[in-house]
Formats: sequence, C-alpha cells, structure tokens
Amino acid sequence: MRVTNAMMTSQALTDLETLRRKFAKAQAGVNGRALERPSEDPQRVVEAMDLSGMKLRIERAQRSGQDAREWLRVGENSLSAMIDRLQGAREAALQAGSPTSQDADAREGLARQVEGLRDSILAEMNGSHRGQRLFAGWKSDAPAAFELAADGSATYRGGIDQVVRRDIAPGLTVAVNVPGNQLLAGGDFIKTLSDMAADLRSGGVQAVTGDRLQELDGALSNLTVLRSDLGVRQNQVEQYEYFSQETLAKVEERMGEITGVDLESAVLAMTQAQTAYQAALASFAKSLPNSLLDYMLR
Amino acid sequence: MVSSLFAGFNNAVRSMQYAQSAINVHSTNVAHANDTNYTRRVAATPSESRLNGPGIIRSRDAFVDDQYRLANASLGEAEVRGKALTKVEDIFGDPVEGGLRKAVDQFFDAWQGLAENPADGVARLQVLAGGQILGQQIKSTYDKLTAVETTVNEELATRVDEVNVALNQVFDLNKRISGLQRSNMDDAALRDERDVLLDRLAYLVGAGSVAAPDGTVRVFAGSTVLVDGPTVAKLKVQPQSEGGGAVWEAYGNPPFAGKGAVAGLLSVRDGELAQLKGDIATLAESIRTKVNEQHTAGFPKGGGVPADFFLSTGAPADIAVNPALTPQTLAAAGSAEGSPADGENARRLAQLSERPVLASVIMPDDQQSFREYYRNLVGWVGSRGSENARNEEIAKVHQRANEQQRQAIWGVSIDEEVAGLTMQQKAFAAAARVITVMDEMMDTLINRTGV
Repeated sequence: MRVTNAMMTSQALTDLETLRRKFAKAQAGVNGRALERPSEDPQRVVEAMDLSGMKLRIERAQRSGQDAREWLRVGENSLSAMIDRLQGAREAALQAGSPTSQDADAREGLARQVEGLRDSILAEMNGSHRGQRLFAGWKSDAPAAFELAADGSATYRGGIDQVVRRDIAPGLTVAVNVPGNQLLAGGDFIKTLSDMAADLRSGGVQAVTGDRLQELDGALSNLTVLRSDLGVRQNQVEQYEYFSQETLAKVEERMGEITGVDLESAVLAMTQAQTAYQAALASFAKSLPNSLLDYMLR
Repeated sequence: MVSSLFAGFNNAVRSMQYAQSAINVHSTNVAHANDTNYTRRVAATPSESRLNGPGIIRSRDAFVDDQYRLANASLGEAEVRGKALTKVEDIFGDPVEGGLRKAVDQFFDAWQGLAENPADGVARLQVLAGGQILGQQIKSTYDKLTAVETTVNEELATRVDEVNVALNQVFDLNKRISGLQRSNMDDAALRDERDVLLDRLAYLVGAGSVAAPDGTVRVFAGSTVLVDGPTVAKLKVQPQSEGGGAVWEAYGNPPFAGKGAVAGLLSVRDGELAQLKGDIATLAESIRTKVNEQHTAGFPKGGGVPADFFLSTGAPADIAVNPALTPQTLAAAGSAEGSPADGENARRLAQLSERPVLASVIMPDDQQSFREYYRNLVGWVGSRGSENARNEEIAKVHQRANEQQRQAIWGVSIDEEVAGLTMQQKAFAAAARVITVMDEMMDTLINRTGV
C-alpha cells in the first residue's frame, strides 16, 4: 500500500486521540467514577438502581425495627407490672381466708390493699410511650384507655382489636401493641378487684377465696399469654434486625463493587495509558517531519 | 527512413515542454500535500495525451469512493444519534445518586414513614414535600426531553439546508464540468470540489452517485433520484404533528428513506424521544391516578372527604401536589373514626410502589411497579446508547479504513513528488543537452563543412 504524508499524520492523530481517550477514562477510574452514564453498562446501572432502592427500604425497615423493639419492650414491661400486681391481689385473697384476717379491721386493710393494687394496675393500663397510649389501639390520644365505672368495672375507650404495626423488613409487618380490649379477654379483672374489695368489707370471705380467686387466675393466664406473645415478637424483630444488617452490608458491598473502582488496578491502567501516550508522542515527533525533501533538491 | 535533423530539435523541445508541465503538476501536488480532499494528479505522458485531453490524469477510484460513502452514511447516522442519545442520558442523570428514581423512592418512603407515625406532623410534611419533588422531577424530565427534541429539530433544519445547498452545488458543478470536458480543459479542481460534496451528501442522507460519460454525476438516495440532468430534488422535514419523517420534493414526492445524519436525527426524534416522552407521561399519569385512587380511599385527620393527592394541568407529565392539601387533610388513616395512630392508608400508599400497575417498557405483557418501570426505562435508554456507541465505533473504524485506502490511492506523497521532480529535472536537462548536441551537429554541418 502507498503511504502518504497525510495518511501518516491522520493515523498519528487518530492513534493519539485513542490513547488520550484511554488515558482520560483511566483517570476517571482513579477519581472513583467507574459508572457515569447508563450506556456504559446498562446491566450494571440497572442493578445499581435496584440496590440503592433496596438500601433505602432496608434502612427504613431498620428504623422501624428499632422503633418496634422499643414499643414491644415497653408493652412487655407494662404487662409484667400488671401481672405482678395481680399476683399481689391473689396473695391478698389467699390471706383473706386465714384465721388472722377475720376481724373487720384486718379485712378493711386487705380491701384497701386490693383497691390500691387495682388503681395501680389501671394506671399501667393507661400507660403511654412517647405520648401515645399503649393499650388504646389507634386511639393513641385518648384521655384514658380505661376508665373506672361506677360499678367498679373497667370501661375501654380505645379501638377494638386495632393493631399498630411496623414494617420490620420489606414486606414483613409486626404488631407492636396489644389492643386494650384483649387485656380484658380473660375477664374484667378490674371488676374482680373492685368486687373483691367489696366482698372483703362485707365479710364474704367465701366469695373472695372462691369465685374471685378463680376469676383472677383466668385474667392472669390471659395476661401471661399476651406477655409471652410480645416476647416472641421481640425475638422476631431482633432476628430481622440482625438479618437486615447483614443484608444492608451485602447490598453496600455489591454497590461498592458496581459503582466504585478497584484503585490499584485503576492506577495501574492509568500509568499504562500514560506511558503508551508518551511513547506515541515521542515516536510521531521523530517520524512525521521527515521526507525526501530533506535530502534532495537542496 | 531518413529523418530530418530539425525533427530532432522538435522532439527535444516537446520533451522539455512535457518535463515542464509535469513539474507543474508535481508542484501543484506538493502544494496540496496536506489537503485530504485533493486528488493526486499525474501528467499524462505524450503517448497518453494523444486523445487531446487536458494532459492531466486524476488518480481517483470510483469503487473506493462508493465504499467510503457507504461507511460515511452509517457514520453520519450513528454520530448524530450518539450526540442526541448522550443528551438524553444526561437527563436521566446519575442513575445511582439522584434523578427521578430517587424522587420516586423517597416519595413512597415518606408514605412509609407516615404509616409508622401517622400522628407526626413532620412525617406528613415530608409526604407533601416528597410529592412536590416527585412532580417537579417528572415535569423537568419531560421538559428536558422536549428541549433535546428542540435541539434535534434545529439540527435537522440545519442539516436539511445543507443537503439542499449541496444538491444545488452538485447540479451546478455538473454543468460546469461537462462544459469544460467538452472543450478539453482541466476540470480536476471542480471534480475534487464535487467529490467533497458527494462525500458530504453520503454523510447527510446516505446519497450515492453514478458517473455519466459527459462528466456529470447522477445522485440518488435509496431509490430516489436527487440530481439528474436538469432536475434537482429538495428535502423537506415534516413536523412530528404531521406524522414526522421527511419527504423529497421531487417527482411523486417520495418519502425520505435514506440513511446518514438526517435519518439518524429523524430516528431519534420520531423514535427514542417520542417514545420516552410518552413513557414519562404514562408514568406520571399512572402515579397520579393510582396515588389518588388510594389516597381518596383513606380518611383525613379530623374527618371530611379526602381530596386528590396529585392534580394534573392536562399537559403531558405535568402533575403537582394538590395545593389544597395540608398535613391535616392528608388521608393517612384507613378508618373513619379518626384515630391518630391509624396509618393504614399511608401504609397502603407506601406499598403502592411495589404493586405491578404499569405495562413494562421492554416487555409490554409484564406489569410492573413504578420503581421497576422507571428502572427499565433507564435500562432501555442505556442499552440504546450503548448499542449506538458500538455502531458508531464500527462505522468510525470502517470509515477510517476506507479513508486510508482513498489516501493510499490518491493522497500526495512528498517523497514521490520529490522523486518525480528530480526525474523531470533530469529529463529537462537531458533534453536541453540533446539540443546542444544537435546545435553542435548543425555547427559542424554549416560552419565546417565545405569550407
């Protein structure tokens, strides 16, 4: 093939441009920009988009998980306090049956003790977390979840079976409260305690050690079931928290792989590109200016 | 046969004249050594110029020209598409760090936040802000696509002007070249000029040409004749509102079916851009209706009828959060009783982002969520871009190879010209020497014979 001067020049320019482009690309890599536009690698870009969406959702789920754990712990503490106090009332009922408790003063003392326990349980049932009632369903701003009626029973003011939920993982929700009406599912123990106090005062020891005790046992077993249920859910939340932390780490690692750059190889690529570019410059500088004209016709 | 001594003089003079004109040609070649559009010329030897031509031969090869122009047409198409598609890609921004994708994600994340904490005013404000940003992002994406369309239209107009001017120039040169050819004059410079125009026309509309014996060329694109004898066609672009594309104002007004830059611009305008604008409008409309549908199924805090979340101005992809909507009137609750911890409707709105509600851009039978729809849209833009980048690379390599071949055949090599100059110089000197010898012979004959 005939090679002309213009061919050599244009070939040299093309080669230099190619080398320059390689150099610029390698340099962008060193600066940490491996993926700048979708066309560079559509598959990877789409994956990166999926991953960053996933990251956002996992982070949201993590916050929800922490929040859920807090709610569940507070609810469990509250239920434990109620159970403790009901146990106290149960002991008072047993005591009422003993011979030392048969005089009126002793019974009055017991009745007051029971009423005290009842009021403190009621306070727990109206407890709140971060300004929201724990046992009122969605009516978290109710003045009171439970009110003491004139006949000594508890009136529920919250929402029936309303469950407050948190999404602890994408697609997985967990209930973080106990709807107030379920507290009384094993019997209205507030009414039981009120009746018990009245029985003690009126001397109805039989009723106290009989029916009331039985009613208390029913309420206690219901509350214990609710408490262990909260415990189970707490475990579940913790598991998922661990799981989403793992997932998040993996997602971030993969994102780093996709959008980031392996610095060592990037620097190496840049150095190689630079060397090639300089070598080409030197060689063209030597070869281009010469022609036969330099040696003839002078 | 006995030849006259004077005939020798004549021969020597002719040979000196030839050497002179060849030196002239060499010096013209040297003067154009760096002009890649210049066709190297060779002085026809006395035996070649018996046809009474101008005595100059252009070393051009029509086959290589055709090859080059084919590659040029592909390059033109890929280059302008590449330029436009790069702008389109820029609109979709950094696919990982921001853009419309982030706005979609954050809008639905804000609903999720509200679902967890429906009593929180800040969570409500975030939903409204997220909706505002999403609306703006959709609108600005659409507006930017329209802006790219405008620049494509402007470029199209420029290129079409260029095509029409070039066609007229070829027509004009045809006339002048055939005139010069008839009177045996040097038309090489005009032919070079015409070849440049033909290269350009190949790049612009994928035009090809056939040479006629009278020195003219017949130019055509596809099956449409553009320049032929006394006729010249004219290209006219049709606005998209009239169905897009372009037509030749020539016999029968055939539609433009060529290649090259004009075809590339038309395909971006009527293809990718039209499709993307439609897709963004579809996404906007779907987000508007689905979000409104779910929002109005909920219950605002403090009662009342839930309002639409997004309003549309009626223009495509132009949605904004209903200005009447306040944190108070956001319908986060799923039941009418107005409980502050009821975020069920907000939760359903957040879950909307995962629900398949839109037909996929790539596979229309698949239903996709907003997130997936947009993700596939970006993937589609990216693969269009990378496909075109590959085509552009191939066309460039192809065109370069052909360009090298052209230069190999008719580029000027200074080495060759210097060698040729030296050769002619020697030939001239030799011919002059011959005259001296003959002169001496004459001298002998005239002055020393019979004295």
